[in-house]
Amino acid sequence: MSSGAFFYALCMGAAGSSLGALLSKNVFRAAIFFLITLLCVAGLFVGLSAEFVAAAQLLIYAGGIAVVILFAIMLTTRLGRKPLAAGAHHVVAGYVVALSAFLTLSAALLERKLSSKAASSTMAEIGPALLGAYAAPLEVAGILLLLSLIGATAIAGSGKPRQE
Amino acid sequence: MSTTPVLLLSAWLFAIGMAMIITRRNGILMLIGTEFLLNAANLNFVLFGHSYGEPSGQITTLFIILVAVCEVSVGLAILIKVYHHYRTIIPDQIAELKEK
Repeated sequence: MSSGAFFYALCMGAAGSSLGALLSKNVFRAAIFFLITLLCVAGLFVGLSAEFVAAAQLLIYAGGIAVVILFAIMLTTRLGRKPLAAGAHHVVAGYVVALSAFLTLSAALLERKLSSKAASSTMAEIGPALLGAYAAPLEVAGILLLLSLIGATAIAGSGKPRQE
Repeated sequence: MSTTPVLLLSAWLFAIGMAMIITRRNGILMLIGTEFLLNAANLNFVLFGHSYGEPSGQITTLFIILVAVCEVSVGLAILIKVYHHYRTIIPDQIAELKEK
């Protein structure tokens, strides 16, 4: 299979699985569709020669966020009782807003041609930039990550232990 | 390799995320919707960085992924806490913030 066909297949896979996540009645299944979308987008990043971002997407999104979401679904599902409510409301309004957003965005994005064969930046450029021009934002992001993880642990872990 | 399908896909993912936030009633699915929005932005940043030959597109994407991790961890922690308190994670059914 040529790389172009593979690229289109990844695009179609991401579009289809995201639609599945929107329409799925089951929360667990929607999370799995979300995971498939993330994997397809990571493949597209490789196609756009952003290998490091693809690796970060796989490690952080597919390995971290998706697993944490699955854990949260399991923790908030009462086993053996009625399944987790996954219904929809405001369906017509939501789809109209989403469709108009899609049309507006695609019209704006397709307005001008992007060159598709420009020299892409590699890890050898990104690393020095992260430690040079972007060092301050990187430190701030690290502090934000530390604070939010401590805060999440404090929020979810506080409270009395369950009496059995 | 044409850039058109990627641009269309990013618009599509944004629309899907928006529809999920508006229509789904479950708190976790609304969080997944915001992740779709962030992924659409990531895709565009990487694509534009690629076509202009700039490393800043990929660097911005890395920062967005980092902020998404923070958002999801805190959001899910709050959802688990809300579930322990109200036994539901449907935002419409949670009318008060204060214990009666």
